[in-house]
Amino acid sequence: MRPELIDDVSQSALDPAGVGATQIVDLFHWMVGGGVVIWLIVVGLSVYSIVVPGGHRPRLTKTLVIGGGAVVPTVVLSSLLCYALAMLPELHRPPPSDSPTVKVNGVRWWWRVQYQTDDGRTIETANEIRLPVDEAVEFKLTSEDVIHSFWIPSLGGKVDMIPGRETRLKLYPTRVGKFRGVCAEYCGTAHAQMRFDVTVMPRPEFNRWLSNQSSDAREPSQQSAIRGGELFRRKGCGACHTIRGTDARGRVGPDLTHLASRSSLGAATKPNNTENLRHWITHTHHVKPGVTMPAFQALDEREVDAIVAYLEQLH
Amino acid sequence: MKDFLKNLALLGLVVAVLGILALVTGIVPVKASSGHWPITHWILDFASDRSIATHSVGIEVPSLNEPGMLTLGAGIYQSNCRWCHGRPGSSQPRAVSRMTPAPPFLPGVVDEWETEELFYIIKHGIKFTGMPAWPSGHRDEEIWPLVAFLQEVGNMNRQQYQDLLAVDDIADAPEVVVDHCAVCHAVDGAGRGSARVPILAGQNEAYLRQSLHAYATGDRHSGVMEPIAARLDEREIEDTAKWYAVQLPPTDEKPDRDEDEIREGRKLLSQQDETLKIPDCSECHGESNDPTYPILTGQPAEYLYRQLILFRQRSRGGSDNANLMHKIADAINERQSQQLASYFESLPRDRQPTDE
Repeated sequence: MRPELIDDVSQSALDPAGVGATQIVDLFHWMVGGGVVIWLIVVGLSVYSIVVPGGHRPRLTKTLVIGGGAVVPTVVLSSLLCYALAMLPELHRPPPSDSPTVKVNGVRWWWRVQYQTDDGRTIETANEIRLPVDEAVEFKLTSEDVIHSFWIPSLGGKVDMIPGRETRLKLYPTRVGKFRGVCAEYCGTAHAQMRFDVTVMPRPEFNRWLSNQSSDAREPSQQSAIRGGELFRRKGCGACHTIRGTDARGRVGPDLTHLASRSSLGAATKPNNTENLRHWITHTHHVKPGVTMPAFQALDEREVDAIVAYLEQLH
Repeated sequence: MKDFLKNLALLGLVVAVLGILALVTGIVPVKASSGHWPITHWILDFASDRSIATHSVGIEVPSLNEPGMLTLGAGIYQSNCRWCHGRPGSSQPRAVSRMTPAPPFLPGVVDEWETEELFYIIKHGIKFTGMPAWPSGHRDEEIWPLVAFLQEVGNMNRQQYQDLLAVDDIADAPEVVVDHCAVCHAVDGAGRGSARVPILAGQNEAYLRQSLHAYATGDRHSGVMEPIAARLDEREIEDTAKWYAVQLPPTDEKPDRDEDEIREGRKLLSQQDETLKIPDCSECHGESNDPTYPILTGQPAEYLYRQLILFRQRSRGGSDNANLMHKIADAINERQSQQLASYFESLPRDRQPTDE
């Protein structure tokens, strides 16, 4: 089966939807402008000196060479430097103390995401980050194995995730929408498939989502889902995956408590739908070569149906 | 000089034509009944001895002095070798004595070979004789019990040999268990003193059945188990799995427990996900998990350790579940495998087996 590409959402630093990204785009545009000015003057003077025949007056020559070759580039580049440096304090300023904090751990090859609720609980999800619009959010980033880099091009700059250290990043989304986050530091076989979904949403919607995420998994009610839940336990899925409210407490793999509410599977490798979920369970390594999860190829059709039914009601 | 070369070429041509004639007409008999000429016999023997001596240099002989080795070796010998090489206290089997070359009657001559040579011969077999290579290329360590047995077989009488093979008589045990399994695994599945073989008593029936199928098809590798499983029919596999699944696992504690290893193993498991990134073994290998997964508690540490190593070398094989273990075995080193194995050996089995 040909891997199906995930429906594409914005993954471009030139399509800014956050304060940091907007500044970076502005800086980029000014740099291009400054570069063009320098290029035009330097190349223009070179062409002029070759094309215009005969001797040039020494005084004019001196003025042009010093002015075009030294003064103008120095002024343009210094202005750009000042402009860029002036951005830093704002980008580096910590967000207000009451801003939401999201903790993200890079793990080969997925993202462990933790939110704090108002009552101080830690809510874990994976490969999906949702943010309220027009609010500063602080990210605390680290890695559980090798160096990764956390980057949501549409929202801001990237920051390395380093094992044993916590790095920080402030983002301030300004536009509602869906965006793509990626790992921007080569980290092994499935690096290119280590991505995540970012959804920026109005505050009330965000609150509803977070409160749903903070609840325990829903109890299966349908027969096949109940059977699926039992299979999930018996087959040892809980050795790696947590489903809050059940015996599944593994921490090796992503938390699946609200898997069905996520838009993609396998760290944004494929859209989250029945067929892909089935395929993921039984042909894991075809979908994402190198992934740590083993393929459960010994499951028969009915067992896969049941487990998928169970997972798909984990809204 | 020129004439000489011409004659030589002519002679060569005549010999070649005669040779091709002999080949095509089939005039040379391949019959075994006449044996080799003495000179052929001597040359073949000499060449074979030299080759074995040369190629067995550098083979490291482990300590063969571990409990249960002779029993395992005798079991393997009885199941595979005695047909051609004879049993202690008897003489060379009649039919094979008419092979060319005839296989040696081992109890009489086995002392002629060095330990390394025995290993080499068993592992690789010998070309142009009836001696086959070990049925699995992945399991060299299985050969040593047979080597240990062969070192002793020269001094063994019929009774001693029979004693090694003697199994308990349990009235309602299926014939297949008594005939094929019991020498190494015991009729009640508790094993016969070797830590190299698993305890089958109380193991999940589905796992036992799938393992036998995997051995029979060559999907799980073992020079001992593959030939046996391949001989069993579907009914016998069912009976065997059913029988062992309902036997009570032994409860006696291992005498030489290494408490340090056990403690380290327990520690490893309790902190597993933060450091090793492997799941907790008992999430799959507990007694209430899927019946196609094996229960590990109480299994001999040596057996468990060996499985982890084989998984890491991708030499174990098994049912369609086997791949679940690969990443896990990759994540732990030999030392840690040993500690985990010791820990699981020390865990008590508390379940009364039920047929699932």
